[in-house]
Amino acid sequence: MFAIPAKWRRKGAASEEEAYYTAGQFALIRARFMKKTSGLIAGTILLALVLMGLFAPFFSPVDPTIRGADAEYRRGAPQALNFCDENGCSLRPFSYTYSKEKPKFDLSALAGGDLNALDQLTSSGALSASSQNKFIEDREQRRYLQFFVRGWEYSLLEIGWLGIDIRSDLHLFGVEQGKLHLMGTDEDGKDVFSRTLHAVWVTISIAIVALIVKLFTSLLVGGVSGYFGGRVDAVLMSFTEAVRVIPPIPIYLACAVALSQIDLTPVQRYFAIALVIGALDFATLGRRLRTHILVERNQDYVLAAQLSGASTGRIIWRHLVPSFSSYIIVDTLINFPYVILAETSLSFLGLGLTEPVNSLGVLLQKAQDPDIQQNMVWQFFPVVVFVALIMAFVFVGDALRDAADPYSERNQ
Amino acid sequence: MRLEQKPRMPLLEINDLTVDFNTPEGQIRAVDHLNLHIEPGEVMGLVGESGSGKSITAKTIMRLNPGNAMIQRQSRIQLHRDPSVDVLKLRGKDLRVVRGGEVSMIFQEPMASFAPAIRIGDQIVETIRLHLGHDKQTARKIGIELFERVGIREPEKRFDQYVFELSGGMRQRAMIAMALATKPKLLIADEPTTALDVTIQAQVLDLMMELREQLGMAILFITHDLGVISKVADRLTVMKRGRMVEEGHAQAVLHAPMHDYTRKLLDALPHLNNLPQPPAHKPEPLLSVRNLSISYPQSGRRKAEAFNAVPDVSLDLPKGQIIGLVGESGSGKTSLGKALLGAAPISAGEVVYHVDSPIRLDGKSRINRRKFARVAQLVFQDPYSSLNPRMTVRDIIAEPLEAMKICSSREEVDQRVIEVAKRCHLEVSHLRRFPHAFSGGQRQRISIARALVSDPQFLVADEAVAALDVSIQAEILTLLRELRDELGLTILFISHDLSVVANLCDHICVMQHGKLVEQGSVRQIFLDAQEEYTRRLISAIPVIEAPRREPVIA
Repeated sequence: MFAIPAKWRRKGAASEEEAYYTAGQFALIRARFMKKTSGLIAGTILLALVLMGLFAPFFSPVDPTIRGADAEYRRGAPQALNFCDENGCSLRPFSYTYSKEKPKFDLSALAGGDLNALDQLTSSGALSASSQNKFIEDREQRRYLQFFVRGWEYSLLEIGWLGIDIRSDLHLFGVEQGKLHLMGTDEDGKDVFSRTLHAVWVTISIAIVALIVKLFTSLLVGGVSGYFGGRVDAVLMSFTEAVRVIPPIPIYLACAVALSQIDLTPVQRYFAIALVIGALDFATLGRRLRTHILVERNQDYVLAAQLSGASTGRIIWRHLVPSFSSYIIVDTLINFPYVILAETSLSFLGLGLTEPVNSLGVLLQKAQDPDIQQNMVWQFFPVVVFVALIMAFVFVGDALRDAADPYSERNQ
Repeated sequence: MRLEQKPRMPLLEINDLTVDFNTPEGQIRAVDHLNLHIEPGEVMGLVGESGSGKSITAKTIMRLNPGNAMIQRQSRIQLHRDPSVDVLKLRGKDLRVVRGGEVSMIFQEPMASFAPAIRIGDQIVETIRLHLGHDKQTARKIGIELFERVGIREPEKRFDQYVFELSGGMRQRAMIAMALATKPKLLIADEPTTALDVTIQAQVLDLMMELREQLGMAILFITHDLGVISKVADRLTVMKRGRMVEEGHAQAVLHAPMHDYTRKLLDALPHLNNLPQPPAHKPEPLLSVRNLSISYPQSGRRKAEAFNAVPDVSLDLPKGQIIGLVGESGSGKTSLGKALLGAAPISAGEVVYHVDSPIRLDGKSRINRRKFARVAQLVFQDPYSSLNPRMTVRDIIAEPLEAMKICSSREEVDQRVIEVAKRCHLEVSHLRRFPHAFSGGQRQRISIARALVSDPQFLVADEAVAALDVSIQAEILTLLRELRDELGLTILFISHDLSVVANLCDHICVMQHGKLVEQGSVRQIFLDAQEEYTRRLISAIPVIEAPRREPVIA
């Protein structure tokens, strides 16, 4: 009696051709996605970025907080890795030891109280931050790159409420003595490369929180509105339209101002922002879901389910939701960049996350400083990462959308 | 009018036409080395089941192929006029020769073939101005004359209406008027009457034949219905999977078919000359309908006006028989079928099921779906939209069992599903597949299996075979008959097609405008109809009349 079902289960997937026809929705989408080169490349880049963000402490050679700031190397330029120089070549890449150039101005001239001397000194630019932080590389003292070095301690995985806290001090790479600043440092001596890696994860996790909130709101509003229709639909949809017509920036501003009244730690504020971004962004997806449900609930198969004795909940979950789950997945992925952009624009306005926190928005906001634009162009590195991240999301979302649509191939 | 300048010169010659389609599954040959010629003024019937490449052939003549169609190089379509042209080599504006100039087309669905937001008259005027170069006033005059000619009453008024304001028959007439506007030499009619009711179908066919006599144009008539083609065609071409399997004079092909496939198609046709005997005794009714009326609330602000689809119907359905419910579209037969299942709003009267614990549907009390679903089930018309595309066949069939929690374990559900699948001639190894992998006939079997899995006593089959090819239709009808005989099912078979009902049912009810006009055994209805309406319906059925297998001089 039990043998029969087991038998036909095995029989179903017997041959390759059979498997083609028995393939589930997910397998079909995956097969189509695998055919898209641009999607695959973007997916690889995205995965690399996300993993590097998630395990940022492991990949970054320097602690990105003020604790790891290199007081000896403020406003320092990127330290290149070399294989060869005039002293010979090495298979192991190396950097040099940098030392701060002593300021050359003569303070004794000022001792006499000569105002002209003071004038000359201030106008010469010798007091400016960039000329005070000039570094000489000592070509004789190489710093060889090491892999899997021990360094500052971090927590690899921390789940507070479970009491799990896996700590480690292992890092992918570093140099023997001192610190390696691949992308230079900022005015506090914090490593730009490490900050950027940490910022990626903060930004992506904000986006994830925002999207989950958005998904929840959209499903609730769209689902209720579409399934019940009538007056409920009219009220919910006019509310949705009302939210939709208000431009987002003023709302963000208002929320940010309201949040600043409450005393929040940066982390709490970051979740609050994510919630605000997510909750206000439900209109488009919610409306589409409503339309979708309105159409789908009139399909014959829904009537068939009703006549089969299925309850309302069962009809929604077993019959209606699967029909637009692929749409939701795709829509969510395509919206990822917009949510990141929203966070960025908030931080950019100075109302979201602010300086000591590492987020792409904060780093991007910093990059608009004329001082950085003129004297520390290496701080544009987060911009490059940001563009790469957004592009990767857009391409993956695009490829996924084509893959999820079974008719896309026929229209080519 | 065309003069016979060169005798024996065909109007259109198709040589070696081969069309391939690029699909995700690779190249698929839709038309395979087809040779066909149409003489001036003759009606060429092109017959075949779905997927036989008949529509693609027609579209290729007008160069309307979809983008992924590839016409192989050796193909030739010669249109013999002055001078002859190779249709496949036409470019740009020259295409107007085949698109509306010498060749016109009538489509299956007139509603979809007119632009919905432009007046019909304007669309026809545009055609006339483009092709014949008349000014607006003259074009309008010609258009109204055409409307008169195709038998549209009040042509002046109809000319300025939108397509949704006309009835199905009127729409198809307007479509014909538009096709005739440029005085084409060849008219391609792609299933022109399939979407119409039988009586309207007969009128449209008569009109087409009349116009052909008057205008002397040739017609390429595409249909899957051999009954229809027997009424109109001079010559016939039978296609199967892109290939021509038989060609010849219509009488010869229909009465002395050479090819097995043609014979199979003909055998699948219902025959009115061997009607089933009425059942010996009339059993107890399984369900009774008493003074039932159904009205739909009109969408809009005021609730007062409701559309009364079925005013007052009383009916007894005898147990263990197949009851046919026929009528033209809009006669309320689907509403009645749905009301029996509690899926249409009952405004008065009641439906009583005489089962162990009688079930009463009166539109007021809530229906206990779980109990009711084990008594009555529905087989849908459209096998595509009635199966959830995201569920496997096994899940679809098992849905009633799982929703009602009839079985205690998954193994029990699986066993029951397998049992029912075998009953409906579905292969067990197909159960893991999704519905998209199946043809229409197989899907309809799945739909029937789902209806049967909860072991109901009553089945409503709403136009269950209307969307299927004749040969598949015959298989499904056989299955339904088997189910009646072996499981003792009572089936209400709703159909607009009297010829299908004739060979299947024990008992027939005829509906018109929401009223039951006549009921009786098949023989009573077909041979001795009392009502004028029933007689009209029956006489409109296109059947092959002459006795079959009679030697015909070709």
